[in-house]
Amino acid sequence: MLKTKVALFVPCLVDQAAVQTAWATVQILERLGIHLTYDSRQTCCGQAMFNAGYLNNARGSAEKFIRLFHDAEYIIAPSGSCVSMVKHRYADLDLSGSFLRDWESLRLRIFELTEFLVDNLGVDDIGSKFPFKVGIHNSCHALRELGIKAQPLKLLQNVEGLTLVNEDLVDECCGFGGVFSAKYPELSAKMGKHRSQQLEIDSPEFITGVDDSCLMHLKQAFKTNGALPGKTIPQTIHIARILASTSSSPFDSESYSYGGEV
Amino acid sequence: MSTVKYKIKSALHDQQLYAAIQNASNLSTAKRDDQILGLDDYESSRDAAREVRQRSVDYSPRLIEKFTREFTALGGKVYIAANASEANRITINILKSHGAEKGVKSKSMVTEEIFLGRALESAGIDAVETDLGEYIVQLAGEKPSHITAPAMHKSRQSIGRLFAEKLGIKYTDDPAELTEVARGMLRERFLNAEFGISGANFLIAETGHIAIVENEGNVRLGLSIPPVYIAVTGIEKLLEKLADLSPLVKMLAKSATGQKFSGYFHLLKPSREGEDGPEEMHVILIDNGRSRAMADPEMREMMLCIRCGACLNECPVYKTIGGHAYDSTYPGPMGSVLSNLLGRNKMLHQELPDLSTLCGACKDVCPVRIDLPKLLLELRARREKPLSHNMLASGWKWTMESSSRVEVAGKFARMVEKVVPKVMSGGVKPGGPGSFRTQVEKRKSQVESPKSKIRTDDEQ
Amino acid sequence: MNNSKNVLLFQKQLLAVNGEFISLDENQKVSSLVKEFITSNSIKSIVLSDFSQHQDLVEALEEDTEILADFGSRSYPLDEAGNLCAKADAGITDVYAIIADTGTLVISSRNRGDRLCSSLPPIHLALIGNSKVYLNFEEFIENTPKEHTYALITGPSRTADIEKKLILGAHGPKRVVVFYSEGNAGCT
Repeated sequence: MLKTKVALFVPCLVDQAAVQTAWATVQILERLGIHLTYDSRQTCCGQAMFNAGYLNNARGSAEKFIRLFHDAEYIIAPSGSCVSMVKHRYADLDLSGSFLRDWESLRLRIFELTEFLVDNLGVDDIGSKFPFKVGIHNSCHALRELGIKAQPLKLLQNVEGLTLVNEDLVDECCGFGGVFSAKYPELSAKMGKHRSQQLEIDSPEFITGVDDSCLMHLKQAFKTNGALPGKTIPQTIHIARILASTSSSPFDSESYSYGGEV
Repeated sequence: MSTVKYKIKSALHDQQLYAAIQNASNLSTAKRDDQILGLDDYESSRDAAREVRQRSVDYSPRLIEKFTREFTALGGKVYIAANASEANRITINILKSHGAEKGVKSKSMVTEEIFLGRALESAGIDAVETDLGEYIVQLAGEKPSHITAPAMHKSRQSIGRLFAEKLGIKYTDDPAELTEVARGMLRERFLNAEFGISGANFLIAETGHIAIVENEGNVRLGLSIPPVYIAVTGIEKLLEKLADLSPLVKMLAKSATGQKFSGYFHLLKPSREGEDGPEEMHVILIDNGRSRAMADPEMREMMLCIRCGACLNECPVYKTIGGHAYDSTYPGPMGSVLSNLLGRNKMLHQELPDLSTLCGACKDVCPVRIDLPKLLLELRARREKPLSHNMLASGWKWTMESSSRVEVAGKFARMVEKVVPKVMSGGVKPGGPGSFRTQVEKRKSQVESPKSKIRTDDEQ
Repeated sequence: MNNSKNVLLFQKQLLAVNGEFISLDENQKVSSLVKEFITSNSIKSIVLSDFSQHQDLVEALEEDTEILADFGSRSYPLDEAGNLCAKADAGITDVYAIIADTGTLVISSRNRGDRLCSSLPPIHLALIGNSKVYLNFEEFIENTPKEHTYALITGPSRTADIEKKLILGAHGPKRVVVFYSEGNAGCT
């Protein structure tokens, strides 16, 4: 395990808007003794452009991504959505030549964080402590395109002090959808309300998941709609931050980077 | 504001509509799950169903030819209509040649697609819809909001009020009583019908059979009582042989209505001497863009669709706004693709592919494994884009080409959080500590050993 | 293929889709059991399609029941046939085949009157004593002559078009009652 070399991919949304998730990912992988590298030239996987129908632009991002990451032994990202984009949707970008060749092998080495921990490293207990009631929202791309459902569950079950709720809740989209939420904000918000209310039923203190985009959308929905009668609004938190919390370095909601230091 | 946007807006403010659609789609989903979860051969049945449909689309022209030969050998007639107006004209000509003025119609999305009802009406022909849901929307002067449950947007109370107003009965909102009222009203129409029109789920090339699935028995009455019977369907519905039906009818019943098998399944042929059945049978095959779609390597997959409606029931967008907001005969995920392949005017429904979060629930439930998100994305990519969008996209691309430009953009986005799309700003406090990249670089530049041993590229 | 096992499965599946199943023992005649059913359900008028046992039934029933149409004894113009069947309290047909694992009746168009007698009256009495027995749809499709028209009927007519609430008897029969005589079924 110690010899595993991992290149960290921090999706643009996480890079710019959810730094804590990225640091938590670093902390988890380092705790496991993984040799971690980060190339600060990285930007975006191209999903936003691709989903908006701008294939040429998306191809540009894809080629850049492949150029930066094709040598990595493993590529790990704290996002199911971006990993799925690279792994599956690049197939629709008409890549050619060395880009196509490199992608065909690269796609087998890119993993979402929890998927990597459980399926590749065979780790489902990393000594985390998080003494709260937590519900999980399975993000659609992680769930349906990468088949990620059991992995986060296994990891959460082994977190000290954590009480898991909502386990049997039906999986449904939060209503974010990237460009969808920009084009149809009201509709997207109503879908977010629907999903957030489902998630509130078991009164979790936190809602977690593997994608910050969905969690941010849910956070907004909780904030806008207030709590259901008799309930309190849960906080949203990326699963990496739960897993990064230990008894010596407990979770701190105010911190912007891990360990509370910038 | 586009028509679709306008309709979405009004749907979002209609609490009754929302309740009706959530309720109906959740019940449909639950019934479907009851049939499918725990089936050990579900995935292989999907493969089998897809294989049959794939073959049927691959060999379509040959199968149409064979079907026509078989069906006409028995005295039936087959027509191929290039578009909606041609199909309507053929139908009207058949009916006029018999002097038929009053008849019955069973639910058929293809006839909705070509606006057959409207065409018959203006030709002075009275064709009453006999499927209960269709009867309700016809009375209300609406279009169906779902491809298998036409009136799912209506509550029992609104149907009660509609019946009281249009049929002059005493108000009731009991579904059993309302169904009985419709049964009584429509019985008369069946017994006096001069023609029956229905869709068809599949046509069997090998034997010349028409295959129709239903539950109410209205199709059965429509093809048993009137002397003239017309089936209208798309040219993609041909199957090679009878055995091809096996995986399809089972998947259809389970996916559409959560039944093990449909209430009625008809395998129809023109009647032989001494047999029961109508005196004349006609089949109208409609192209209306289908052969163009079949010749399109990316889009031909949509032609595999068997119209079960499972993707509508499962779609979180559909479940929030209902079918009418799509402003198209075919709503939901399948409709957002199909509507852009049919007819002449390809610009008409180009907004619909945006009405999806790409969550993939539709692909998950599709009995023939149509990759709807992929088709939606393909349509988004093909669409002509407004100049302003192109400029934004180019700006994004230019930004994403370099990490330092991303930094500038990110800082700007965090500063003006309120005016940029949520995607760049959500969850970030103005004046926050900057991006992950800047933090890493800051640490790296610190002289003392940083807490994290994270290595940047040039350190390796 | 084990027929009695398939008939048992058929019975179970038929009941699951709101159908009814009446089994005869060896000494009972179909006609007397049908007569008993007709009396106890206050059925005043019936129509019959053209099937082999129709004469026995007509003889057993004509005393107390009005026989509006007997397609075995004559043919009727379409419109007259429809009106007669619509007036009847029950329609009696035999059944070409049954499909066990879905509780399905297969009515072929070979008998005159089959379509109308099985669809217009509110009660459909179906005699499966001479029916072929198939395990499933695949088996039916494989073994059935391809030149005819078939209707596969699974339970009473139904709709769920109003708020997804299941209502029996949308346009077709509200009740489907199957009569089965052991030792007399299955020719496969």
